[in-house]
Amino acid sequence: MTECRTPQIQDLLPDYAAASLDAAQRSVVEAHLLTCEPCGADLLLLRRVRALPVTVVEVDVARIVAGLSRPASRPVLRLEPTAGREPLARATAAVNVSRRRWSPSVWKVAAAVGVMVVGGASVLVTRHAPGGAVNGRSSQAQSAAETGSGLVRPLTRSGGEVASAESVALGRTRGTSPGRVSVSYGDLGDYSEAELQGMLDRLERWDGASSTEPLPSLPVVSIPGGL
Amino acid sequence: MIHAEQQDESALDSALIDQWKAGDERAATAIVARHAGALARFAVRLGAEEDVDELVQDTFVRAFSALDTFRSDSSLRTWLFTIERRLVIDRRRATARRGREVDIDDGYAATGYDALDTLLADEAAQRLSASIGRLTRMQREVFTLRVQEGLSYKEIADILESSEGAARVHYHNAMRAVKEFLDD
Repeated sequence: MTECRTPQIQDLLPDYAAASLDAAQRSVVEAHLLTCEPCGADLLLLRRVRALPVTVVEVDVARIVAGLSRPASRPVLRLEPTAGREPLARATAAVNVSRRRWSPSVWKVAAAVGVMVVGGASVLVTRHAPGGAVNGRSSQAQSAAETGSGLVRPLTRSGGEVASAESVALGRTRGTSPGRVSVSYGDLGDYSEAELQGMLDRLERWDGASSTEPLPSLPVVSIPGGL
Repeated sequence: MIHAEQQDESALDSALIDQWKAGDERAATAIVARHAGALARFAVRLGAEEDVDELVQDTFVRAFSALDTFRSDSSLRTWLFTIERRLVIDRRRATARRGREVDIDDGYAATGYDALDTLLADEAAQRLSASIGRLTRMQREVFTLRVQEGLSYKEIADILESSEGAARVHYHNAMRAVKEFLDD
């Protein structure tokens, strides 16, 4: 018996034996089988293989399913309109309990809060800094130093002089003249609940100064051991 | 080749996966019930008939833990076969490291066909089963996936992490070898 020289048909024979060809392909194969003895023999062999009894293995579906990890439920954010960080803390806790990885929506919320806080701080610096920058101390810093509260915290230098540390998370140092203000990019966790709420309140009262306005130059002074 | 039935099967699998991801645990039962039998058969053909149950369970555990990475580029069954085959290879390698078995990737190894031989009353069927059992491991995997599971060369290539061309060559070599064994 010679070999068939039509590999396309040979490739289709297992599918023909499995009855999985569409009508057009089935017709092509059947027309070929009428004239090709080797392919007829191959088809017979394939059908015998398919007719071989398969080893029956009992599989316990319930046991397999019981061993599977549960589908991860979506984290539920409970952001309540109360003051302070409590809502965010609750949301974080809910995420941690429900699944290890945070979903993108959680990061989006976190990013939005971050942008609001950082933006608010930047706006405050922008709006209050120009006049007070003359003596190396922003008006906001001066005000804060005087009141002992607000966004800017006073730092006492070794010489007893007060320098303001603008802890602004993504702020930019404007100007490099040897002034007396150290601008650090610290953690917002340095602020109390009241301070953060104050920042947000000021942001809400903001009248919409354009971000294209030229930013004031903040004199910078290096403080030994400080940022 | 058009496999409308396979497309329907894939669509059903996709729907079940979505249901499971949404928290419907009954979908997991449906998925396992749909594919456990085929995985058990494949395990036997791979020569892992001694611990089929455990192998099938491990396959599903791995698959469900990585279900987020399943992109439906292949059918779910093809993906499950791929995972199961890797598990079998890993176990063979572990066994080989312990010095119990040298053969890892190819060559003759005990398969479900050997056990089947003694059960077949029909001498012709016995000879056929023995012939398939004499194929190299790669030939046997390709041959059984193609003929008995009805998978395409593309699907077989995915499972074997090879190419369609290589799968086609292995199939034709297996076909030729089986005929020669039967003629012996």
